[in-house]
Amino acid sequence: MLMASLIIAAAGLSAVLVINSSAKQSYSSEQQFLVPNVTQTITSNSSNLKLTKQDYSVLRVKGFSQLIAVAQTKQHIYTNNQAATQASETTKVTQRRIDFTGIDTFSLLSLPDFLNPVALSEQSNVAAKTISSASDDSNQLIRQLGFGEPIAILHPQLLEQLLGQLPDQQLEPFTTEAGTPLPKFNTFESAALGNDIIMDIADLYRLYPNAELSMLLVVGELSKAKQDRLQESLPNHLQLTNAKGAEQDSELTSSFHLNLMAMALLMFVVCLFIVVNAVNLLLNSRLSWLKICRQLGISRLQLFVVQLLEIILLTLLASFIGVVLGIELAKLASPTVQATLENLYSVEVGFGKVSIIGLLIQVSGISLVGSICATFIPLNKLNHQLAQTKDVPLSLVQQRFWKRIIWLSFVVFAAAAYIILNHAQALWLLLIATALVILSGCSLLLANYPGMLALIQRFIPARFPLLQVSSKQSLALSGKTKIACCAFFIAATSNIGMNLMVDSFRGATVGWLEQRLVADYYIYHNGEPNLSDLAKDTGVNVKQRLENTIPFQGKQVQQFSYPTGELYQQAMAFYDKSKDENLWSEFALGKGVLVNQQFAFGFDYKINDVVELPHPATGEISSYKILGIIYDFGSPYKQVLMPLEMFDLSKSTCCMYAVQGAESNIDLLREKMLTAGLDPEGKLLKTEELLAISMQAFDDTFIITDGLNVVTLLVAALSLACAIIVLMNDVRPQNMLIRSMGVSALKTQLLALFQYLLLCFVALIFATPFGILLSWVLINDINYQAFSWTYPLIISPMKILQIYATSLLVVTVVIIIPIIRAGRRPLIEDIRWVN
Amino acid sequence: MGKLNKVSRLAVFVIVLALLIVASRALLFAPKSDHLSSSDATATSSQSFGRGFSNTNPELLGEVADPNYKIRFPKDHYSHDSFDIEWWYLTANLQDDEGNVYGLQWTLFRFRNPNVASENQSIASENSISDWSNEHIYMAHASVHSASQHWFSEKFARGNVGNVGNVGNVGVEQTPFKLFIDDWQWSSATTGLLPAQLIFNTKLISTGEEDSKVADHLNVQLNLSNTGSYVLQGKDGYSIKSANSKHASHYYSAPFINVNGTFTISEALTNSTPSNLEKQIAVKGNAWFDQEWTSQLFDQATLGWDWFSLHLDNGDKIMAFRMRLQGQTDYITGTYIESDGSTTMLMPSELELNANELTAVGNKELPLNWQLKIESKGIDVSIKATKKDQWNPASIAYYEGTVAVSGTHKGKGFLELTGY
Repeated sequence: MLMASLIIAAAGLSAVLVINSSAKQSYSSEQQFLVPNVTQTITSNSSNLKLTKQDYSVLRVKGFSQLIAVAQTKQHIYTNNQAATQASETTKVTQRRIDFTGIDTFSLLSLPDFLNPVALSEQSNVAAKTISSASDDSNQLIRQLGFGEPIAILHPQLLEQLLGQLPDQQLEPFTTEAGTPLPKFNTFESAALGNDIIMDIADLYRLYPNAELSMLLVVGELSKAKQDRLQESLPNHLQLTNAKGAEQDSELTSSFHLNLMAMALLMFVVCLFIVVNAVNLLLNSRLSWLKICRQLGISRLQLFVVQLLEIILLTLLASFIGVVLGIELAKLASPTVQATLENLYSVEVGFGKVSIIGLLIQVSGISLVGSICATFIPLNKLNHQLAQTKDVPLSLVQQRFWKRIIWLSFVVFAAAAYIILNHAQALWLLLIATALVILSGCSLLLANYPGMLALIQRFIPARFPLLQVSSKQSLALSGKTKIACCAFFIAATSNIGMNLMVDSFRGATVGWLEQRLVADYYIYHNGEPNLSDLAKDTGVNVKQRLENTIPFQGKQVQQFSYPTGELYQQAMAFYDKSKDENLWSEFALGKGVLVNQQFAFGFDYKINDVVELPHPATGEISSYKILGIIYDFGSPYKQVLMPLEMFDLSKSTCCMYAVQGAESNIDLLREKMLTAGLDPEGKLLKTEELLAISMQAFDDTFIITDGLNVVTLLVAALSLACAIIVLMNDVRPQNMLIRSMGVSALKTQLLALFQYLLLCFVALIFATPFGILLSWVLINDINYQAFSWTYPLIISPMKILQIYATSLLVVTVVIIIPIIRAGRRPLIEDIRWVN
Repeated sequence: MGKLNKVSRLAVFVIVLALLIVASRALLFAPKSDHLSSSDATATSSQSFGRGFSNTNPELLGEVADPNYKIRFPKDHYSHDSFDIEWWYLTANLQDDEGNVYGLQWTLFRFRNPNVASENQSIASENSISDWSNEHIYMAHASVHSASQHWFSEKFARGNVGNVGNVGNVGVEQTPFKLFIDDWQWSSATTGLLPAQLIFNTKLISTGEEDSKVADHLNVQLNLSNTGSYVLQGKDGYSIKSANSKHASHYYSAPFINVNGTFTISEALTNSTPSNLEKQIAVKGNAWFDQEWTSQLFDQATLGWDWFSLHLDNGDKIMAFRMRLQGQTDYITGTYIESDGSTTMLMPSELELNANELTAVGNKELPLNWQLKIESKGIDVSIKATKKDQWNPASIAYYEGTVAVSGTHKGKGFLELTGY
């Protein structure tokens, strides 16, 4: 038990450490797509004017030869279907799209740092420097990309994942959807590589002719003069920004890592509760032996040192196994973590390199401190037991003192949490407040356990004497299982909190999507032909969403069109809106705008505030009133909605169309799309399908949270089981007595189960309000600070009952084993034991 | 189909790599010659490009040099896209007002991916052409030597002007004439090669001083004017490179180029303050230009060559080279150019070109001291490199540097050694 809990604790902690450090390594990596020393990037700031090959060549010819073109496309990987009769038939291999990145390696190789090291050994210092930088592995790989047989570079772990998804090992397994073989894969370990496959830009365009230039990398420092000249040379639709540095990404994602870390630490703490109970159990079983040792003259200190040494050795062993398991766990979880981070924060996450030794030192250090602290309580108890011949119960004064202390801690914890939650904004402080909320709940539970159990006892009718006896025993037990009950309470509270949060988020998302997705179909299509024109004679009503990207207070903001029709007015989901009845008419007239929560919270705007924004068509800056703040769950972008009529199709991009019409008319549109060379199956999505896809993505995102929840609950139940094994001995006389009175073994054990479940039930009752409070904090404080958006808390009694049922079931499953074992013991053994 | 694709792609790249090797006049397949034993023969360079022409399908090779072809200008200053390889090569002996001498080289190479040129366009389009590549690959080298310093840069780009897949940052334009790769540009105001302005920049890679905190960027701006006629090398521009005439190219030169211009040396572009180390140097001197195109110059028998362009003080010019071929006697030939532009083709029997000694340059033994005899012209000169280390550490490395001529005649010029 001790080993198991320590291994679980170490595994959980190391998995989270590995995940966090890998993600952080990839943000802080100086490389972008394996290109070292990227200082700035050039991207398009307009959604209708893209970065083009011509922009690139013009800039290079003007002398900006530090610019390197990068093109990207997200694609699934396929494999040739061998069973298929047609050679072109392929099967999809990947679950989610891979980021294919093409680099203009020829330009990269023209940079001085990439000068091939075919220098003479005697060439002097400057050349030597060049050579050493050029000999970097990634530089060599880039040379290979440019001049070797076509290859694609990816992280070994990604290749492993891809190979794992193949039905069987093939020599040339991977292709595009059309069946064109992908270049040979070369693996390269770099934190900069994640869900990416990197190749030469010409190869990328050969495989995916519709790939788009995403950015120009500026490699190396630009002098101030050259930077100014570059700024002047850039056409209006291009912008120069500093390379996405470590700070920006790590700040953005710190909340995620902090949450993950908090969950791991929670699990770790709960595991320590088990350690306390397990050590207690261990020492209890050795008590008679230890007493004999004392009688033989061995000092208490010596005994403690020996026990402690044993715990330390076990901890070290468990940490080692835990770290190994944790690394494997992190590997399993990393695709989900990468997807979560990419979806929530739009950042690329790579596979980091983790030093096993460093991790081992870190984890075993934390585990040692934890287990030594956890051992201290049972050792202290042992000290008392060895010093006294009899167990002396606490005096009434002592009991009162402890009760006061517990109430006082409740007040202190609650007050501290209240102050922090109301005044602090830093994420780490908010997480501390969350911990304080849970701790105050613990104190409240401990202070009220006896009272609550006494209250329950009153409701048990006198005709059930055995139940009454059992509930009385629960009361006695509660005094001895404080720690285990606290562990269970913490697990239950966080479980209720997290579940309610995820449930609220899910509910809000479903509601929001259902409200927003009012059309019958949606088409995602970027480029020619414009589908509104295509649908003209089909009788289908097509509303397009036009998009611009505008600068606002130094940040990029999305400027989207929104239709003003009745249907779309009802479809809008407001977080807050103007009391003005003419909201929609003002919006339609272009006097006011709707902004998403991300915009309002990020720039600190409220309803009726006035913002200065460029006109979507003319670019002229005008004042607009904020008429409403809308929900836009999950989006990392700040967004402004303006009426469709204000946009000019020639100046904005259109990526999405809302389609309404009879099914027969939709069929007409399908035919027209097919004629225009568009794939109606892939692009025309029924609203229900879209909803299902969105919710699938949502559920995938929260798999980790669910997993950690179950593990925490399991660990808490284990902790309780440990406590029960210790207590089994304490209640043996009572049980013996009851059984002597003719009560069957089964009944006795059922009663024992009842006692423990009663304790858990009471803990759950206390955990419920604290769980709700926790989810409120998570939504309104932590989510607000981390993502700049919130959603309404939905308290679903069914969900809470479901958690009750799951928790009690988990506890029953775990504690049933020691109870059955005790029940199988012949009565005579207990009688002998008491005698 | 997949297999065919793979094979043909492999072939394409093998050929492209082979072309890269030969392009810089640096034949690196078998570095040791019968005459000279270099101790560590270009191990680095040959290992990267150790695949030869013979591995590829000969049917896919480009247009073959034609002995009956008449070179015409300005048409033949432009790109000859159907040939596999072509270069525009300028070397200049310069000096500044203080008498400091400089050697300068600027070269643009074009390679053609033979697979794309095949008649089987379906293979070509599937394998090589994309929006970002066509059958042409360009490479450029810029090198400047002072007495103690060496600036060198290399550039690569792909595509050719006017073709599908042209990226747009490299090519040869006709009206007005322009050779360019990024901001390195040879531009003329007319449709002709000369007069022209040449602009490029390069980076310091070697300095004789211990203190490396020196201005390491060199911007070069040269005005080139032709004071003589173009010279058709070989027989009317058909230049034979081996005794069995299997190797040949179309080759002409402009040996009478006057140069004046400016070197601007500036600090590394790392700080925001205006450079206080920036200085301008006015330079002038003579330059020699070559343009050569072929598809049949190189095979695995070609070991390398030693090439000379000499400006004699009496105004005459000499071009001479020695091709080193596996299993064959070296092929030595050249052209004697009178100051009035009249030429005499020098057959192997009419000139003697011998390396006097090998000089250790880094880890290589290179022939930097030569003797040239042309009895019919009364020439018996010794040709010595003016600076020992003039090695270009390019992707395909070779020796390219200034020489001094002494003996019956005096002068200066350039020496190129490849395959070492």
